[in-house]
Amino acid sequence: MNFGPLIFLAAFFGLACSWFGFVLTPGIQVGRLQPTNTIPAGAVYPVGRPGLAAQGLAVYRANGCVYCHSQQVGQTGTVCDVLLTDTGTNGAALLVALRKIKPGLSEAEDQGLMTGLPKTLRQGLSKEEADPLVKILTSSGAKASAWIVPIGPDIARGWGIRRSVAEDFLYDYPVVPGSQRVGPDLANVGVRLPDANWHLLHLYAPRAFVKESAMPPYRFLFEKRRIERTRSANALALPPELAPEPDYEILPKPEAVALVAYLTSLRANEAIFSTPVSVAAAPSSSDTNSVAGGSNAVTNAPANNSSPAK
Amino acid sequence: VLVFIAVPINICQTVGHSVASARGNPPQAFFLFGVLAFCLSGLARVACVLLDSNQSLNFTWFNPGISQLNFYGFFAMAMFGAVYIIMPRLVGLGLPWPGLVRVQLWCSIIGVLLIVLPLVLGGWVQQVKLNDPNQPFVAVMRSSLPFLRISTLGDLLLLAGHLLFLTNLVGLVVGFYRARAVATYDELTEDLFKPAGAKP
Repeated sequence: MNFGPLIFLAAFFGLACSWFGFVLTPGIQVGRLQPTNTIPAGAVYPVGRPGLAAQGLAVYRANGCVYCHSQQVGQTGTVCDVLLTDTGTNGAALLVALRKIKPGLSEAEDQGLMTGLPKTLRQGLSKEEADPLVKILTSSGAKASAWIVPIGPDIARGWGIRRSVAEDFLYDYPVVPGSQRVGPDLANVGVRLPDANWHLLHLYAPRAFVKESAMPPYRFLFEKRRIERTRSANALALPPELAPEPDYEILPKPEAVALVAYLTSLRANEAIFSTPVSVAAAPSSSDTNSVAGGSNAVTNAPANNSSPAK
Repeated sequence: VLVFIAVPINICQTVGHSVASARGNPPQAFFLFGVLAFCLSGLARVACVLLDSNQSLNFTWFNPGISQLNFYGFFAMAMFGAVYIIMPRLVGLGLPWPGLVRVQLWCSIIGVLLIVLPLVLGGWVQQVKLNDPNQPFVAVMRSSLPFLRISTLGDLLLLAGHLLFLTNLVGLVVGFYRARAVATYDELTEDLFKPAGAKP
């Protein structure tokens, strides 16, 4: 009755399986991850964080932010919207096409659809449903495209425009994707709340800015100083009930500045190959404002169609 | 999954544990609870992976709850049982207050349940709300607060149980050293108390 070798082999097999699953497979999948390109702009993604933001990651770790904040946006699926981008020249043919795509249109609605382009004609379709509709439109001489829109509760909350992928964390060491959501997800906090001053104030007194916030105030990242001659430029502009005595001012320590630089650098919202999402293509003239406007339009789209997507 | 079914069957057959035999024997009851907690936490994890298509449960209090069931319910309870069985035999004395073992057993069992059940339930509620984008995030967070408060009660019960454990253990060690000290004292002073005439 000597089962020693058998027990050893069984235990070895068990441990080997979990090593394959937890160590080897992820290593093969993302171990040699390289920077990729954004679509359609073709810029390199991701770019390393600026030095101050990289220091901020250390502050983020040191203060245990990761225990309450996740940095991973989830996505339950992808839908397609049919977008009319250009009416073309054949108005009559386009009208026929529009009637096919949206049966029961009135005259006034027709005109409304053809002005103020791009216009979303149908929402929440699958790729197979959207492609024929786009074809109907393009064959009438108009320009149309099927827009890829990721959906999911996190995206509907405005936490991001697509799911988080390994590339988002490529230059972070260690990665802090987080495992709990006592606080909101921060994967895109730099897009959502780009104002560094807001972040500083919020770190100093979270409840003054988000009612019922569960976040503790991080006042030890700030120092109270006597005003010598004039107020410092970077002193916090606190509301009166939080402000210190008249002769004093609250200044962020370097840690707070680094942490805020890190938070505002969290912008995992580029469209890349592994998470397709349609964003407005950069116009031929390098007009950055309109690019920003275009991507905002996309950001808003999932919020609009969240209810039919359910 | 097989592990979580095979282990309790194995243990119960090897040691012959059953609820009936554990009733009169608190250290055994610690083991029994530990084994139960081990299977439950393991099965819950497996079920969680299979059920949760959306991965939201991972971000809630559900996971800490299951971890507590694993770490405290299984590991700590088994260790308590082991200490309660091993220490008296090691020292060669009975526990000074055997009744406290039973009290600690119930403190621990109720404490663990009070921690785990609210966290698991709260995690589930939190997940449902997280998946509903119409719920503002602050409301999601607020919904988990009552559950956290109840689980703090569980923590307090565990603390009480630990104090009882410490009392017994310290009592045992003190008893052990007192017995040794008395023995040594007797040995050293043996000659002094002998009647004077007995000395050669």
